[in-house]
Amino acid sequence: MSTAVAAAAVLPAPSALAVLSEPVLVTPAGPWDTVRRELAEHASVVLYARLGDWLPESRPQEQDSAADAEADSALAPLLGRDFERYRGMTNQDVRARFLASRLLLKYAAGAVLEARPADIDLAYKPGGRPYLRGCDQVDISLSHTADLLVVGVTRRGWIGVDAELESRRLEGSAVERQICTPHETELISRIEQRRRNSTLVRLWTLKEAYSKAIGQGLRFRFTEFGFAPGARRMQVLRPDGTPGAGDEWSFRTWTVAGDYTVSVALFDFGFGDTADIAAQTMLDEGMVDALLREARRAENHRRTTG
Amino acid sequence: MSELLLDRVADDVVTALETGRAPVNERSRLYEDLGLDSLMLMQLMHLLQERRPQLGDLLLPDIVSHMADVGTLTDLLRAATGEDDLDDTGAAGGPWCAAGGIGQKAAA
Repeated sequence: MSTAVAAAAVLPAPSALAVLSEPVLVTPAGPWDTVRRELAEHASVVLYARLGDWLPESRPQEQDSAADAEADSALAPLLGRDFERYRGMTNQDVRARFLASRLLLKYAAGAVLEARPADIDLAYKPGGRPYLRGCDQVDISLSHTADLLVVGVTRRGWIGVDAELESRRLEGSAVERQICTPHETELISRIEQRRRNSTLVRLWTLKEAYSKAIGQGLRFRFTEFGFAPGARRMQVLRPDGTPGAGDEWSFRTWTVAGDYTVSVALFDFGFGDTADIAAQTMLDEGMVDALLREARRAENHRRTTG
Repeated sequence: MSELLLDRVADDVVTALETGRAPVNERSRLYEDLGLDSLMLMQLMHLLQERRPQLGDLLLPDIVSHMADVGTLTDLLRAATGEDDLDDTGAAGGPWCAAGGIGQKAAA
């Protein structure tokens, strides 16, 4: 693990050091005990995986449709509501990443909730943000690019993760102007030329991770908030460089699997840990609200009729 | 749907894509069929705005909610700009892939 993951120069806030450890490489075989232990100790965990480890064995193209049907019948219960969308994808690369990332997410959620992956109800909010239906105490985030899959899990608040190839060319592109605040542009201009592109990729993943954590994704204009590349403590800044968010936010960036930049944004509600998150012992907030409403209704009924 | 504006939007999509894949028709979905990722979407935003200054500061939320396929994106641009579909520049063949799209049909 430590050979595959090298801590980047971006250092988190002191409080964040306690809740964000290095990403854990996982395959369907695990190590899920490690994931559970990381989550128990740090309240949040970031997992990464290689695409090939999460795809069913490829079959020759000429293999008959009966084999396809058999494979689909196995995937349908695992993918749940995502199955029809998966079946309708015509781009094979997108299809593979979609399948593998959902399997990774379900296995990860199953591991931390002590449930079967097929029993994990993965749903999406209107903006596309994935969540675990019925398990509001656990927040998840997902990112995939090229051959890398990344999942973030926290039981302390909101989490957002993003991954990108370090070699993805951003410097000098139109994208650079669309993602940088004036303050960031100024800071990047002072960085030596050979480090500018990797700095931009890091900025991009930080912004994506933050946007995902707050549930906005690309709906939030990336020039309206920023970071200070190279700062010891990474925090959200306004376009002019003044602080824009408080200590509840933690950020961290790693180089993962040699070629990828992975960032995580974590918002701590400050309510402390939800130590027991096993599915059997968790009560969804909505269910609690419904139970309380029913209790109040029964009490009112008793008073008016008693 | 007018084929000229559709061709232009599809051309922008092809330019933004780093995959070399071209849309088949207006129902080609930007993510599921073409593989447009978030960085490619930013590039597409830039192209759309650069070629249509009348768009002004195009709102990313509008684009994201209309990016299901090439046709819905075209509808958004038509509504936002009132772009003249009858302009006769640059429609020949269109950017559609060899599998056959409406641009090809128009050129045939």
